[in-house]
Amino acid sequence: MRFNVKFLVMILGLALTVAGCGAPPKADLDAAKAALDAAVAAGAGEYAAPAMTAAQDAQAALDAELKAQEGNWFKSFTKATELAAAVKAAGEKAAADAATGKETAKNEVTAAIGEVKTLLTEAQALLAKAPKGKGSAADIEAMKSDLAAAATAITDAEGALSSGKFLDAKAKAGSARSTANTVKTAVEAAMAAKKK
Amino acid sequence: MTRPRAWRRVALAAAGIAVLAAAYGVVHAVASRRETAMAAAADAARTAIREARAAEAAMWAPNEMQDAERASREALTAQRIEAVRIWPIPAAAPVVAAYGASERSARAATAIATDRRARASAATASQIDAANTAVSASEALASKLRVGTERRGLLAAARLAVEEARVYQRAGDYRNATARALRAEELTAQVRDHAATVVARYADPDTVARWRRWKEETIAWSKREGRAAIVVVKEAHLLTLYVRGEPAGTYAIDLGFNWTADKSHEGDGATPEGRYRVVARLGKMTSIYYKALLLDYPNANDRAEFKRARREGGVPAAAGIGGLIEIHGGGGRSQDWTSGCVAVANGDMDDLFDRAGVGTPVTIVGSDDYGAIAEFAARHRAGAAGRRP
Repeated sequence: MRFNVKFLVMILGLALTVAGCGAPPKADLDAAKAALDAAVAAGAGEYAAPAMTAAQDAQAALDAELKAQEGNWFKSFTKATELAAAVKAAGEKAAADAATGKETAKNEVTAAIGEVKTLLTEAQALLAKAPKGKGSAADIEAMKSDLAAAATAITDAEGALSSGKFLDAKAKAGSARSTANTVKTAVEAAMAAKKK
Repeated sequence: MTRPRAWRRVALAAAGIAVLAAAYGVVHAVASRRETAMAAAADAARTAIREARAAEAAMWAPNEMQDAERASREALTAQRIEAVRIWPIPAAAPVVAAYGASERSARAATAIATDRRARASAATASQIDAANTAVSASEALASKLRVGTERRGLLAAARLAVEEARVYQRAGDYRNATARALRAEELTAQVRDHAATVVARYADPDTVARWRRWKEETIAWSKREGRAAIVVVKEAHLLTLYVRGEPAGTYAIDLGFNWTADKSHEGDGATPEGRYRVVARLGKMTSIYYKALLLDYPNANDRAEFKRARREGGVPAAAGIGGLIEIHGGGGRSQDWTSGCVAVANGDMDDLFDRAGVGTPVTIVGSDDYGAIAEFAARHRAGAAGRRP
């Protein structure tokens, strides 16, 4: 009888030990989720798509592991802990890549806007020196109008840049560049023709 | 008796071990084969998903891509469940089937995304081409008609929109690219609508008939009187000198920068339309542009029209009717640059100056035929009618 009681106590103890070891690693899971959320908030989907995909894949693997352990009699969360760490690392990488990608895009657009502003100033200065005459007055007015529109596009590009809409800013800067170049080329051609 | 029993126990134990080893071998082999099958199915599904992502299926075939991703997650979960089970032989069939479903969905997503993307790319390229053509045509039209600053600004904005569309197109953002191209077309349409209004007179049968009548009467007068007469056809940009009703010389001309309009007031840049006479011959010393034949603009009709327009608010309150409309030298620039005068090359001016005198009739008409401008106006009118619901 004493033997049976001892045996039952041992079995109960073992079961409690197994159940105690079987708790999901909450802190690790929370950290993984926070890292993934931070990556999304950092715009990793747009600026670090490959890293974001890798993080999401890692999360999918973790979810699968947790689900598999849910139905398991003898739960082990060792692999889940490893996978959670992998998700956290991947999320942090995606956030870091996103920050880098954003900064690169911002720098590129800032540089493009700066270049186009210089180009616009050059075109405006050149237009002011364009051969004047009754015949060219209408053309000069038309080109002034083109440059005014390009200047507006640059203002819009700066607005888009400050709102973080880098592709919009790039598009507007690109269009302004094209117009400024066209005007510059036309005035230079007119000046060259006048010299002949 | 003891020894045979011992041997039998050993033999039994050995047989048991052999049976267990054989069973382990069989289980291991079956389990390995099933795990390999699951791994292969997983690899195939992952490859298909990777390809679908590269084809931007999430954007172009979102439903199919979601199906593929969901099936992949379910398969992965099923695979892990089999991996953690106590029973050593995994049930591979449902796992392989789930990965197979994921692979099929991913491949479908890739195919659909590739097709949709290609179609969107072609449609965008076509839209941008159409916008570019429309803007170029309107620029040419605006340049020909010398439209004002406001419309020129619209065209500049349209050109910028086309360039923006190209940047979006290069970035693969076809939605924004198309939106910008459509915006360019809208802006262009505003300019074309305005231009069509301006040149509508050139497609008006009554107006063209009146212009023809003026021309014919001028030629008839020249024939009847045996004297010189001048006919200016604005659309053709030609001035013809008639002597005794026969063409004695045809000259290329430059007109006012707003030449399509009939002059209504000072500073509008329009060349007047009507029947005038030379009232003075200005030599090199008195004309700004080489030599000139001064016309009697404004005549009685012009004054009456100006009064009517002013009464109806058709001309600025501060504007005068204008004057000093001449046929003068300094032309031959192949562009319309004057404030309303008719300019010819200096050599042609010499010729005209010698053959036309004070009193020579000068008839200025918009067109004497159903020309390109009329065609544009009519085409535009037909297009507008077609668009009307």
